[in-house]
This record gives sequence, C-alpha cells and structure tokens, in this order.
Amino acid sequence: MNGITRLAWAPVVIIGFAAGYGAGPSGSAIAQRTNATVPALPADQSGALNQVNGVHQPPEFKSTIPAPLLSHRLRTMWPNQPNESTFWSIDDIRNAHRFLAEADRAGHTMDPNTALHDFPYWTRTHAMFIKHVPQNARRPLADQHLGYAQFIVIMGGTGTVVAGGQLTRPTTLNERGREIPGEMRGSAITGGETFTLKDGDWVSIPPNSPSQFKADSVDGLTYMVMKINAQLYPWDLTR
Amino acid sequence: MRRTALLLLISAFLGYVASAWTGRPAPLTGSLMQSQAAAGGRGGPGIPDIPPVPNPPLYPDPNQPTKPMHYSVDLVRRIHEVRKANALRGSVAQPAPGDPVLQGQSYRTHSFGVSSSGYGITYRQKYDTPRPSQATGVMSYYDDGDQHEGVTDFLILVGGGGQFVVDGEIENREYGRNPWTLGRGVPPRNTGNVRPLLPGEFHGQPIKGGHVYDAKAGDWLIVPPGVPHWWLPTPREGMSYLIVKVNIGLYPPALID
Repeated sequence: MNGITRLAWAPVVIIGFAAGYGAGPSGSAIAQRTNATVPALPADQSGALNQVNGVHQPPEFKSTIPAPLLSHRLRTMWPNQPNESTFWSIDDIRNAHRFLAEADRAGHTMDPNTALHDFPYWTRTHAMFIKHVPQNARRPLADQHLGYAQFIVIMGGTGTVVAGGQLTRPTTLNERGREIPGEMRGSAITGGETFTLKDGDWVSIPPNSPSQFKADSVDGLTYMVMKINAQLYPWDLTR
Repeated sequence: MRRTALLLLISAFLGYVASAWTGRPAPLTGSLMQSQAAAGGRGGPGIPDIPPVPNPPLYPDPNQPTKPMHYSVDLVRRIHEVRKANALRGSVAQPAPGDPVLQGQSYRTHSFGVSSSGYGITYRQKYDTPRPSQATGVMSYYDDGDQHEGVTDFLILVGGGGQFVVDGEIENREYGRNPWTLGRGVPPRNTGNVRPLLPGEFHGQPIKGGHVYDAKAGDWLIVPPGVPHWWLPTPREGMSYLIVKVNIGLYPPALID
C-alpha cells in the first residue's frame, strides 16, 4: 500500500513542478514566443530599417489627398498670421520717440507701445514691441531670455547696450509670487561687449544671451525689439 | 490527502524558482548589447540608449549664432552709396576688396543680411530701358515682386527711396526657382527647367489691387507670409533695404529665396 502511495506522489510532484515553472518568467516568455507571430519583413528591409541595398532611404509617405496649390488665399500653413502688410514711416517712428521723451520729461509713465500704430504686433512666430529707457532709470536691469532671439532697431536717442557674457547675481523673474522660468534678471553683466547706440542702429541678440540697455541722453533711448520665438516656446513665459 | 496537497505546493514552488532562474535576462555587456541594438532592440538599429536630459535644449542646432552683433547705420548707408554707384556704372559685381559689407546672421528661426549680392543689403533699381526681369523674364523697368509661403519679411529701408507695393495679387506669377543653382548673371532665373523649383516661392509683376506706400530711408515694412510685395525704386537713386526673414515655423530653409 505504501509503495503504491509513494508511486502516486511522483505525478503529483511532476504536475506541481510543471505548474510552477509555467507560471514563472521563463514559462511566460515561452508562452509569448509561441503565441506571437512576427510577420516576415521584405528582404530589403530585414535587419536594417530604411535601407535598400545597404543605402539609407527616407521613409516613403503617401497621401491620398492632393496638396493644394499654395496660394495666399489658402491659409493652410499659417492660419494665425496677419492678412496684410504693415508700413511704418520714419516720420511716425521719430514722432514716437519724441512723444515718449516728452512724457518722460513731464514725469508721466506710459506704455511705449501706445506711441506707434499697430504696436504691440503679435504673431505665433514673432512679436514686436516698443521700449523706452529713460536716462535717469534707477535700476536698468540686465535681461536674459531663453525663449526668443531679439532683433532691435534704435528709434531715437543715444545710449549703450552691453550684450553677451554672464548675468551678475542672476535670478528668475518673479511676478506676484509666480516664477517665470527662462526669464532671468541680473543687476549687471560681466564679460559682455559694449556697443554705442544711436538712431538707426541695429542689434541682434541670440536666445539666452544677456543684454542691458542704458540711455545717455536727456531724451532717453527708444528702440523697437522684434522677438523671434525660439520655436514653439510658450509666449506666456516670455517678458 | 493533506500530505499530497503539501507535496503539490512544494513542487510547484520549486518549479517556479527553476523557471525564474532560467528565465532571468543576462546582463547587457559588450557584444551582447551591440547585437541586441543591431537587432532593433532597446535603442533601435545601431542607436545606443540616450539617457533622459533633465532640461533639453530648445535650440540644439549646430552652428547657431551665439554672438550678439551691432550694426551701425553709417555702415549700411555706405553700402547703399557703393551699390548705387555700381548700378549707375551698370555693374552687378560682388563686393570689391575694401567695400563695406554687412555680416548677417542665420538662425533656424530667422535670418538677416543674407543676400545673393554679397553685401548683406538688397539693392533695387529702376532700369533705364525695359529688360527681361530677373525671375520671370517679363519686359519691365523693375525687378519682379515676391511672394513667400514660408517666411515673414521685415524690411528696413536704409537708403534711396521709391514705393513699396504690397498685398493684392501678382500678375504673370510663376513659381520661384533656386537662384543659387547657376550662380549670378544668368537671367532670367525661370528660363528653362535647369534650376530646382521652390514650391512656396513666387515671382512676377505687376501687383494688382495692392497698397502703395511712398518709402524713404528709415521706413519699416512687415510683410506676412503669402502676401505679395514689390518695389518701385526712384530712378538713378534706387533703394537699399535690409530684410529680416522670420521662418513661420518648421519651414525648410532650403526652400526659401
């Protein structure tokens, strides 16, 4: 009887071992391998994606929708850009500077963008603003902007810009308790280059490069800055 | 019965342990890692795994300008005078040694001071007699107007004067062709099919139904993408302007004229 019982344990042990092995990682992998069917790749693609006879080929994209003829009436690529051109005469530009200089002397604080028509000028890819730096600016902060490049046109007055180098004591801009990441401010710039500015000059400042404008005439320094988005950067994080 | 159940549990546990031991993945080292990568595993074919970057750069492109630049208005006025003198002599030569030249910058997002003339500033003139225009070959006193699908043009007029004609429709409009293919001095640009076609660039003249602005040095003009623009320079004075071209977003720079 005992012999027969011990003989019956053998299948119990085998069944238990098999069940445990099957539930383990190796058993699962075998199960997946046996169940999965991998379709065979064409001969010219097997082993190397996008290669034909050993030469890289770009993927082929096919569209059943014919591309429309590009025309300024089909606003497919730039649905949020202006429809028409905008022109600013040099007379209006100089008047804007004079207006801001007079307001400055009279002790009035005003938004410089109100001094010239169509400002500020916003699009998805670029935006334009008027800035005015008074000669007696108490604390001309140095700025550094991660999200955009700047192309600057001096509209009136004289002054200097220090650009490049490093911000001194950099801090992230804080507006009413909210930090604006990517907008850095500093008290000064070390290691930058100083340029003398006058009416009609241009300045190009790459993204993430600090700059600090100062006026040295009683009329202050007025300039237009075109901010060119570094691409898909959120405008609400730029200043 | 109890003993049978206990035996079943113990053997199942032993089976699980054996399964875990034999199914454990081998450490990826040396040739094994390479062979897995070559087979398309993990990092893909031939591409090693890239560790995550905590703050990925926004503009990782190589050769992007990093140096701030300053351009004096005196420099661009001198360029206008040189180009005007060249035009009056009938010369369209590249800058001679000692000529003032503006060194522009090309970013992924925008460029300026990049012109086929080599001076960095674009010069337009009214010709003394009608001649085939530079792109479409229309007989005219003036160069063809432009229309760009991929960029906004911001123009600053730096010398001379005349008129800007903008908006409206370009008549005799043709697709643009790559002006760099054959170099300069082979007008008009659109003759034959030798130069590659630029699908988002158009040229032609005149512009019908547009706005006309009298333009002089210091004026600004911004032309949104897809809007025709044309220039009618003052006779013998011409007009010089800087163009800041702003890419409207992910448009191939190679397709911009």
